[in-house]
Amino acid sequence: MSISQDSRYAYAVGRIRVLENKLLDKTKMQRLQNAKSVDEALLVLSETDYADLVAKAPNPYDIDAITTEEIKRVYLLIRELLPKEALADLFLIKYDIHNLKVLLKAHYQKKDFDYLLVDAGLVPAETIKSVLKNDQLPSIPKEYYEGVKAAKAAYEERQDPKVIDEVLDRTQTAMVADMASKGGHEFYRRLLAAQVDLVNLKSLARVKRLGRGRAFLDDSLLPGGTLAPSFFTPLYGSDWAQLVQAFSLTPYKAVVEQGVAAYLESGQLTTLEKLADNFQMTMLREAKMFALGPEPIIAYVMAKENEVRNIRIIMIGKKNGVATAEIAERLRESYV
Amino acid sequence: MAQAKMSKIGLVAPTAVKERLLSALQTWEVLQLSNLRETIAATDLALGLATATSSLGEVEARQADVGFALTFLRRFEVVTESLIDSFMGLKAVVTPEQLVETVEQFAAETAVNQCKLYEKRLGEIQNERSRFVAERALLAGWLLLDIAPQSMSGASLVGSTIGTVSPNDLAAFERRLDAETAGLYHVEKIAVDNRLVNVVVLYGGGEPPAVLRESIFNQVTLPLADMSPRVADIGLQASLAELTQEESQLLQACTKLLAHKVQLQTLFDHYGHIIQREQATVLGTDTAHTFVVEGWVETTRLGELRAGLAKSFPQVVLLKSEISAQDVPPVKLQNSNLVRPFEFVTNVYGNPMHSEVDPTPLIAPFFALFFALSLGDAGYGLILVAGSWWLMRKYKPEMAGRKFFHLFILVGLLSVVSGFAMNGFFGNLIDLMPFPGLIALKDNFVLVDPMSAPMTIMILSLVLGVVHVFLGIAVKGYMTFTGGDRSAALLDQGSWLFLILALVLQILATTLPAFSHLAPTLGNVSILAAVLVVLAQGRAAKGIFAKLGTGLYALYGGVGYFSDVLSYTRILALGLSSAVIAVVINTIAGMVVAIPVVGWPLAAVIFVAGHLFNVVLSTLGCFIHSARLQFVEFFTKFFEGGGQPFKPLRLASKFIVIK
Amino acid sequence: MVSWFGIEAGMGLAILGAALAVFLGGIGSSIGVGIAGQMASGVVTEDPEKFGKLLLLQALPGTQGIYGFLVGFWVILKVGLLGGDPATITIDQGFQLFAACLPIAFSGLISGIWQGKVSAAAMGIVAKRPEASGKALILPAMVETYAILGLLASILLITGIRI
Repeated sequence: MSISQDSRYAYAVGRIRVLENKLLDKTKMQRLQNAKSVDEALLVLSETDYADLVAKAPNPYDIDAITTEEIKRVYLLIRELLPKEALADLFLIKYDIHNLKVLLKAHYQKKDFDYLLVDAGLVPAETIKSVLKNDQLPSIPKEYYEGVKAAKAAYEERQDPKVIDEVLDRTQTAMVADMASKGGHEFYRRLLAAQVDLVNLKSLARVKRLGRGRAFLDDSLLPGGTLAPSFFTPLYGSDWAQLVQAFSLTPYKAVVEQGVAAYLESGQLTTLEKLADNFQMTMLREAKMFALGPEPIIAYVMAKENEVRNIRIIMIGKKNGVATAEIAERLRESYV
Repeated sequence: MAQAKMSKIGLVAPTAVKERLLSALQTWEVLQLSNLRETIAATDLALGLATATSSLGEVEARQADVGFALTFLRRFEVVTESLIDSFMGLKAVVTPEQLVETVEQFAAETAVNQCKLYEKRLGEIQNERSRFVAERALLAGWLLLDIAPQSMSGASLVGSTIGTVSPNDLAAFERRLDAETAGLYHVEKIAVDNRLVNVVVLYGGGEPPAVLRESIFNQVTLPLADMSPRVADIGLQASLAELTQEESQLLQACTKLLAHKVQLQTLFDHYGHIIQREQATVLGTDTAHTFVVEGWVETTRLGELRAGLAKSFPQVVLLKSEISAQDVPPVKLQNSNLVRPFEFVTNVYGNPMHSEVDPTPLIAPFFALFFALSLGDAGYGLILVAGSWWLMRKYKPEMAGRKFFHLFILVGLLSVVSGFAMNGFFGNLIDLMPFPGLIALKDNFVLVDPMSAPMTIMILSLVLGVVHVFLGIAVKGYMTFTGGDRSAALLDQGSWLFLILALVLQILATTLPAFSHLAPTLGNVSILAAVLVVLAQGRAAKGIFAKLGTGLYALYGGVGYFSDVLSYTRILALGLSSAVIAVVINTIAGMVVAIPVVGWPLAAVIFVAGHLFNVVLSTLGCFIHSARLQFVEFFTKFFEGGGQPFKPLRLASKFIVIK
Repeated sequence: MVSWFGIEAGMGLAILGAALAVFLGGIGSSIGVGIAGQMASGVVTEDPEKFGKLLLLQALPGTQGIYGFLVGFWVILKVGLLGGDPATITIDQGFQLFAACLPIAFSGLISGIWQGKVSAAAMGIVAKRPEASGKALILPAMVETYAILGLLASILLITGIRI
């Protein structure tokens, strides 16, 4: 019965509903943006939920450390709220994939990138490291193992670190989509499908802009979206107007229209990328309508990820003296 | 007069008095500021947005600091808030003088810094303690080793090391050592448990034997290796004791800081007041030398505002503006003392629009009646009256809270009356007492007993329902009529009212034998009324069939009114529920009395706890369902709601009451 | 008096009805209060000050159990089991009492569960917009209407049955 299905999440949703209040709202984000210096921005952060982290950080200027810590806090919370749920895993896979990428590249470039590892995934970063070093691959999830094998093969063939990213990205998408549909998380599956579509759209635009060839595009397109890769490939050869035309019957009509218009004007794809992210946020806001299911939890995590990304953009911008208007340009809409 | 009349005014003040003026307005609590930004954007005037007088961010940061200190200190409170306290939000009473004194003299920064320091140190102590405990656990198996592990490797002729071996492997381990060192070895067992043997291995011949690097032997590195484990352990114990002592000192210091709780709370609210004021400031606009705000004030308090300004700010100009069609005045309900408590019920639903009638006077009698009939117990009514009175005395709530308690005093009193009329005083308590005189006296008041005659109450509920729904439609008709659209009022609402009236009369005639001869005539009248409804409701549609269809569909919509009326039977259900549970409690208590010794006390406990439980649940149910009958059955007929409440600039506080 | 396998059938049916009313209503309320309670604990974990309001909301789906109990009690009273002097119940009367208990039994079971879910959802309102708490209280009460109708039907039926 569907009754027991969603009331499982009642406790978790209860906590999330309160935590949502602590997400930074528009005014706080605005003040953060308008801060005149990194110190002032840190002061603003100290009034928010981040106060603790800022106060305890060994180096408060190291915004990456602070935000990573926050993300970890969120995942720990999700683990606690959903101990037996594969749902929590869905969010963590990308950190394992990130670690795998880092380690593989370090391996091939003979450098130490350990400081880039993020210990937030399903498998502790140390384990992944030792497993890769000692070549005991079978002790990590099979998909990772296959992914690493494929990535190694691809690298040895092409000698380009980029292919490692591509192969592992595909592993990630396939894995997450598979788990989401197995877990019956319809909302999340839809979000993911849209995400894949938008990533593909961005790849298409980028490859087209740089003119890197159809084969390159074929390599970077991800499966699993609502639009098949075969939808994107023919568009490589067509002009931008035709591209807009092709998307006019998809939900991404507005994103493509405005994004392409901005590109034709400025030669930059930033607007398109931003619109794509905002599109996802709009989808995410649907979760506010769900009273009891897993949706609010999923939305909270993604909202938090988005918030952290925005804070990073602002703080790094402040550090490097980027103008406020320019920072604002790069920010994504927030959930609240 | 159910809504206070609002005036729109503007204030023009020299910039120099900006802050003082806003402060004064905040204390007077008369003016709600409007946002001038859009107005400014629409004009070509060279007006700048008003800037805040002091740095908002700074004040917010200070408030956050004080808030942190308060949250931190709450951990050390011995007396935790009671449930009622947390529900009511017990506030500290602070005089204006105390407020000024605290703001000027209290060293908040010191207190906050102390809190931060203590919090950090307490965290560190926790970490150190777990580290020391872990180290002691590591040392536990080595206490008999009486030299420092570090000094062991130093010997030149004889090498030594410490580690663990599984008891099963011990013999094999010694055999290997024997072979590799040609007999120059010694194994000293320090401690043995069933999983591992802690050993010191001495070996001759310089190089450590290979077996020591194999998995059979697990070399151990002890913490504090520069002293013997026993000394190290004693040291750790001492450190732990020190930590505990330091911690208890810190806890004491924190508890001492609690003495400043009220001052911190005062400060928190003081910062809150500044923030509210600054947020209001930016709604206004600055010109070169003046500061302009616009806002709403109750017309009745306009004189008061004028007088106050004339006295303290002679240089400020008050301009009364015309209310234009685009303006949406805020809404403040204004009712007589008897009706005011019921504003609480209206506000649960929302405020009326500024152009609407305040429904409070209409719902007041019905809400009270429904509640009293649903509760139907004189004892419970008394508890409500006494409880509300006591809570109000103790917590001195603000306006909304006062309305709430007044409401319960009123409906409680009415429940006392309805209780006696419906034979309920803590259920059937009086009947169980051995006083026939009292029972006879009580019986004099009883009009109807819901337990023995539920049908009577049911009919009463339905009658109330018909009256309520009828009134709702009539109000709508009245509003349309006075709004100018007279024919629509007569046709839309009038036709329905006519039909309902006709049906009610017909039912009466059919059930009352004296009038039964009128029944056929009234039946024809009802049919006529129904035809009227069809014609009236269908008039807007185009084409004869569309008219007929729309009209019939509207008539079918009358089923809605029917189900509305049925919904009022909940009054009976709730009344029965509270009465029956009360009887059950009395019955159980009565059975328990027979038990020797513990009988009476146990019965008393059951009686008190049971009735308390019932009074809380029944009150909750009666309140909610009486309110629902207003919102769903009554408001839907004529009321829209959605007005913005009047929120004057004021000193809103979280922790304190300024008296 | 009819007896099945030596059991007094009329009285048995009446008791079965009373039991159904009590336990089905109780199940509905337990599930409802349970769901609401989980959500409430979630909110309280993060924001303990909301406890009072949430407690009220959690109590709302509890009424179905009470209504069921009430009907059960009424039947027990009716057949005279409480005074130690049971009436003689024919099998017809037994069936009547049994059937009279069904409205509250089933409406209590289902509405209790759903009221619990609405209560839990309404707690979201309390968590996010405390100033709208009054409105949050009204929403779950809409579900209760149907338990109330069930209760009324049961009670009217029981009072109407002649013994």
